[in-house]
Amino acid sequence: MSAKGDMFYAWTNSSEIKGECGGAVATLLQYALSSKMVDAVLAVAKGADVYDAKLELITDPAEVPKVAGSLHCGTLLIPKMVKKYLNGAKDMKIAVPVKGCDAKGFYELAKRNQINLDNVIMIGVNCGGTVSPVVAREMIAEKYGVNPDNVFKEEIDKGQFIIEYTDEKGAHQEKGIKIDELEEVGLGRRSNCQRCETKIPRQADLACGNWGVFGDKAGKATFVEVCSEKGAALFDAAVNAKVLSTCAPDPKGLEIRGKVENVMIKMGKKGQTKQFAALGEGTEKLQKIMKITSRCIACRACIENCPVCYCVECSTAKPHLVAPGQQPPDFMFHMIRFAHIADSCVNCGQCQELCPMEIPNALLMHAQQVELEKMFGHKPGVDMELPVLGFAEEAAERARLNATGSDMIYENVFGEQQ
Amino acid sequence: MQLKYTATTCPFCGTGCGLNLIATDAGVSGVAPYHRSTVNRGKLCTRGLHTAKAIADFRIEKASIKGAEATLDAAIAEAQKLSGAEVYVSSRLTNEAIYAVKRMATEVLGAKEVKTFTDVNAKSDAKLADIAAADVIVVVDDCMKKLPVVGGTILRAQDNGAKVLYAGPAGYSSVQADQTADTADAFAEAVKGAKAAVVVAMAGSPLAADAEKFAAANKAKFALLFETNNGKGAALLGCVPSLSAFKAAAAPKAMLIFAESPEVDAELYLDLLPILEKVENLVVVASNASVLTDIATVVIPMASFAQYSGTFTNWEGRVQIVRAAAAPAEGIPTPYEIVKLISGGKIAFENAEAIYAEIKAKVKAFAAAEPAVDGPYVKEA
Repeated sequence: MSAKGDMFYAWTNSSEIKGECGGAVATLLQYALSSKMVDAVLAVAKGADVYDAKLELITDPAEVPKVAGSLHCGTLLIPKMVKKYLNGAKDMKIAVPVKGCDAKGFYELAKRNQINLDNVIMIGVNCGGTVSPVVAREMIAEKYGVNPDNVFKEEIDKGQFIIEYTDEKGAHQEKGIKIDELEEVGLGRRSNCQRCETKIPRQADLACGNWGVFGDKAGKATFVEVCSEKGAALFDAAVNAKVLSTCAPDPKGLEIRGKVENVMIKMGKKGQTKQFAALGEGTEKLQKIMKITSRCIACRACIENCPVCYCVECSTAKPHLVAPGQQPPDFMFHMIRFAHIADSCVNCGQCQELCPMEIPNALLMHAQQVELEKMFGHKPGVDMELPVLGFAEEAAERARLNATGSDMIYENVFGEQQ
Repeated sequence: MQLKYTATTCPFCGTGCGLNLIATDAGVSGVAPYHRSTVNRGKLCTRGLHTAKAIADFRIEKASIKGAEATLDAAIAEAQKLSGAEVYVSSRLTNEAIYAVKRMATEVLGAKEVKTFTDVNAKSDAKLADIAAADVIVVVDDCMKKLPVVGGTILRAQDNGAKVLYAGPAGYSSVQADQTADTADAFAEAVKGAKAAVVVAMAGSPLAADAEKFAAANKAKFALLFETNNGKGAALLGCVPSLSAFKAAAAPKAMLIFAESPEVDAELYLDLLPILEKVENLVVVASNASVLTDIATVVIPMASFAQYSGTFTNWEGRVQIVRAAAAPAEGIPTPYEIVKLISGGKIAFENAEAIYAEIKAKVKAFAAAEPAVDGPYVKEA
């Protein structure tokens, strides 16, 4: 029996699954489905080519192997799709492989009662960042001197973005360039990924990846960390069913995994410092934010794709707050967004990547979230703890205040905490 | 239980953004970003974001004649009587639908030509990549608001150091500009001194012809943007842009309009209502109800763009794939089927691909363009 915190090397016993590093993730997904622990697997699959990621909802275990492997150009975010199109997993159980921002988005929608997390098994995958598909293609053509159509595999490893491609003579080639070098010239990973600290998503039920697989198992096994009871139950059942083999991780591997994670977290912090500093301080910062947000056309793509936003009646659409039809809208539009979600921003980057008017929304929101976290200690996307501006049942709250027999709300609300 | 992605092209403006239509058990339920598109990198404006709703609302489910429900056959029979009538086709329909309607109108109904409710008064030579790489961009008219993702590309160029100069009435674009003026002429020096200047204007705008001349005189590339998703395609296929002419002339006695379309077209038809109301026999083919179908003598229901395949041509001249995300409701024909029915089987094709093959063979601009979601460019003469 495994428990939270346990770590293993695991590999598939199935000849069908051609996982990159042991195939444990696909095996766990397949087992969850075939054992009827879940009704469906929701996973990223290759669309038109390696630059095109889409979601597949799979109900036939035999189809699971096709979602094996990772797509570093898959920048889509899963939780909002679950809310929008699968009724928040309220009436079905699903197993989902998640990168850090997916996992964090699941928690934020779950704590707002938009997703039933009891029905979701999150299989976390380590993530060193993702590259927008169009940027990747441009980068491969310009920096690698390779026709992007000839690339059949890409990966991020040892600080490099590595491509495997077929050259003009039909030979298999590999080429890697340091991520730092690419990012210095505005290429490489999405800017939010450059600020990210969630490299091993332990808020998922299991955290899997190839970091720390050392020795004779290197390249042949997946490193699995058990992160919850739900994760332990799936992992143990898959091992008992003999679809997955395991052994204890090499102590040297454990050390390496810790080092890799720390290096990546440091890179994320460095990215934050650099990008936040560019926003300036105080009045200058406010003016910069006001200037850049004046590009807004109020299309609400940021809201539509945000894994924190869920309101049926968005305040930005209320005519007494934001004059309808005005482009650009009043700054109030952005103030509402900041006020409502900055405490809960998980830095998934969707609001920025999908903004038609090139507003660095995620940067602005993440910069505020980091400050709010320092002030209030609330860390979004890691557990079910309510945000700073928590949900309150208005009627119950008013009754509670009335019962104090005083209209000194400040004293009533904050006084009792002192 | 399903969650099906269909990568297709946005049906609203001439930008040609890629998007994924999402089909669930409830049918086409929404969109998901298609990050892979080189046109829009997954970005969509409010219209694209609400594509599924726009095509679902106010769908026409039954044919009607003079306001009374009729069989499809009876409505088609009314359309067949339109010999010599004026024929208009929506520049929102696919290249294939426009081409098939044109053949039907000219070969079967005896129409001299097929017209569109657009105006095209200039010709472009710039592509979106030219805008992205420009060092000086002259924006004429509020283009950045009308085609937001093209506007965003202009802003990306600005982030990379390009000067954005704006000529026209105050609006969204003027707020974004580094400099504004009443007419583009004020920017002649800046354009002459640029390494890669692009002038951007709206097709149909009274300012477009002058903008084109200004670009030519100052050796800048010229981008003519279309407000409708297939305005460029309709023009290349030989439809006659006739919006101004229609507004200036008396109402024709009989008309056939192959319309679409969702709420975005409501404004156009509302504007033309005083003339359209005077048409004695107005036969309208449409997927969604609007003021146009309210006043039509005969209404023939049609499948929506998400229910049949084909191609659109964006403002750059990219031929982009449109894919069916769901089957049409039972008894609701596609435009290709409607053409076949009205023409009594004379203009009939196996499928949309067969129509496109004929377009390639017959229309020179399309000869070498094999459609894709990202789309190759047509070669204009």
